[in-house]
Parts: sequence; structure tokens; C-alpha cells
Amino acid sequence: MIRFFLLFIGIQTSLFFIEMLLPVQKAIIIPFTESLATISGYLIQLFDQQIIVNGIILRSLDNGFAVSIQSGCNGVEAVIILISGILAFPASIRYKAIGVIAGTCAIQAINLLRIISLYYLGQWNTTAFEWAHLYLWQVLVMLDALIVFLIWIYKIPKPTLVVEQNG
Amino acid sequence: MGNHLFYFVIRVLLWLPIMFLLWYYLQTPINAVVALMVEQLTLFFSPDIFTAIKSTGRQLEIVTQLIINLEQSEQQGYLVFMINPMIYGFGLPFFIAIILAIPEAIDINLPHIALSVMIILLSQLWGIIFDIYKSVIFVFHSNIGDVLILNTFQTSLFAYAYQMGSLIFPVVIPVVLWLWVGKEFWQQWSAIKL
Repeated sequence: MIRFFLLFIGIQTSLFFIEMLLPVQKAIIIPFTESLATISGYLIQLFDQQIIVNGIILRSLDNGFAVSIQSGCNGVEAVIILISGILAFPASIRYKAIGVIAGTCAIQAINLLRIISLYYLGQWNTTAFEWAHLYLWQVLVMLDALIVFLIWIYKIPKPTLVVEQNG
Repeated sequence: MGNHLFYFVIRVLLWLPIMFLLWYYLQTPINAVVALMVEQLTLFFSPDIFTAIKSTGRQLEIVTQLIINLEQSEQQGYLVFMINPMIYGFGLPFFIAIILAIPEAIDINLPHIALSVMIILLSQLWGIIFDIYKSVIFVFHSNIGDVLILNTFQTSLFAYAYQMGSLIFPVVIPVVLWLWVGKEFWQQWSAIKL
């Protein structure tokens, strides 16, 4: 257990430090955040054509309201903590890879829901938007990461017992 | 085991709004304590910059000794600005909700929970203090000039500490602490024992 926590915290700290480096922000995080905005815009346009996407900004053509997807709203922190938990847990590399890929998709699916809901919430009520933005969705996305981790460890295949026969 | 996870999630979703409501309505006394602690720390580290940290209900008022020149006017005044301490403290209701969601049959170490609550409060103090320094060093720089003489490395360190306190600590620390405090609960689901 101590080994798990030392690895968990060590991997997290390293990944968070790497994530904050300017070259990593420019090469990976910002393009990733822009793609989130593009996907969010595409999903919204399935039922609401009055939206325009510019970089990390989603803007309503109806009333000019806009949301900008900043650090902390791109789900990267939740993905990092999930990856850290998976890598620190003793399991096969194949199973860890499955967990990382599936878990990242699950977290970003919830994150897209966050972006779209905040886009409409902000147009409806500022107080509700602030609460959802600053507190509620931060917690729900991290809760999603925790639940994904718990499902992953629950699904880990049992170690195969090899019985050696003598004589 | 799948049912246990499902019921755990349901309990979390039920406890979250209750804990958040309680936390919101207790903000005035919580902020009063936070303001006192932040004031002691800022006056200890930078007595020539800060005068007082006051709680105004759900916000903190940062009173400084820094002279600020008002634009298009010859008037001067002391820099005073507001900080929202709640954006660094919402990990507390989150942590308590996910602890309460653990079934009663599982033994939870109460001293561990108390220690976890203290760690979460310390992380809130970290976030608030680096927000204050970020404002003084970067946000109001054009109005007050260089308050602290920092080299490039020190400036980057302040920025890094602020980002840790604002983006990472409030959501990550409660989850890490829950994994520690609730290990008897979640370990039972894994075929591999740690």
C-alpha cells in the first residue's frame, strides 16, 4: 500500500509539472483544448445552429454570450490523476493501457457535458453558472475519475495460479 | 461488487448537495478563521507589504501598504483587493461527502479523517496565499511596480505554486486522501491486494 501511494504521488507530481511547462502547453494542452471546443461546438450544432467556435471560445450568435475553455476546464487534471492511479497499481501493462485509454475517454465525455451545460447555464443564470463552473463540475469530473479508477480495479483479472506438479 | 459501487455512487450524489449547502452556509465563520490564519502568514512573510486580511462574509479583503496611482488622476491610495477563498476550499465538502458515502460496516480511522481535513484546510491556505502574491506580483504590477525583487526562476516558482494551489490541490487532494482513508473499502474490489 505504501508503495502504491509513493508511486501514485510521485507520478502525479511529475505529470503535473510536465503539464505546466510552456512547451508542453503550446504543443499539447492548448491544441487539445481547442479540439475540445471544436467537438463541443459540433455537438451543440446538432440541435442549436446559433453557435460559433473560435479557438477555445464558444459564442452564441443569439445573445453574444461566450465561454472560454481554460486550464482547469479541459479535464487534464482529472486524466492525470487517473493515469497516476492506474500506473501505480500493480497490473499488466496491457490492462493499464486499456484503463488509461478507456478512462481518458470517459473523463472527456463528462468534460464535454460540463462545457455544453455551462454554455447554456451561463445564458440562463449567472449565479447558477458560477456555482456550477467554480465548484460543482470540478467535483463531478474528479468524482468521475475516481469512479473510473474503482471500476478499473474491480475489473482487473484475477492473477492466474500456476500449480507445479512434481514427479 | 458492481452493486456496491453503484450504491456508493448514489450515496456520494446524495451527500454532495447536503455537504455543499452546509459548507456554503457556514462560510462566514469558516472564512473568519481562514482570514486570521492568512493574515498571520502574510504578515509573517511580508510585513512591509500587507496590513491586514479581513473576512467580509464570503470574500477576503486584502489590505496592503502598497501605494497605487489612480489612472488619469493625481490621487494615490493603498492597494486593497478581494479574493474568493471558496474556490480553494470546496475540496472540504467533496471529501466529507465521499467519506460519508463509505458504508458504515467499513472501519474508518477517525484520526486519519481529522488529519485529512487539516491537510485540505492547509491546501486552501496555500491557494489563497499564492493567489494574493500572484495579484501583487503580476496582476497589479503595472500600477504598483516591482514589489518583490525576483529572478526568473523565482517568478516561475511563484507561478507554479499558484497553479498548483488553484488548479490541482482543491480537487486532487480530497481524492488522494480518500484513497488513503478509505483503503479498506476500495481494496476489497480488487483481485490484487496491495
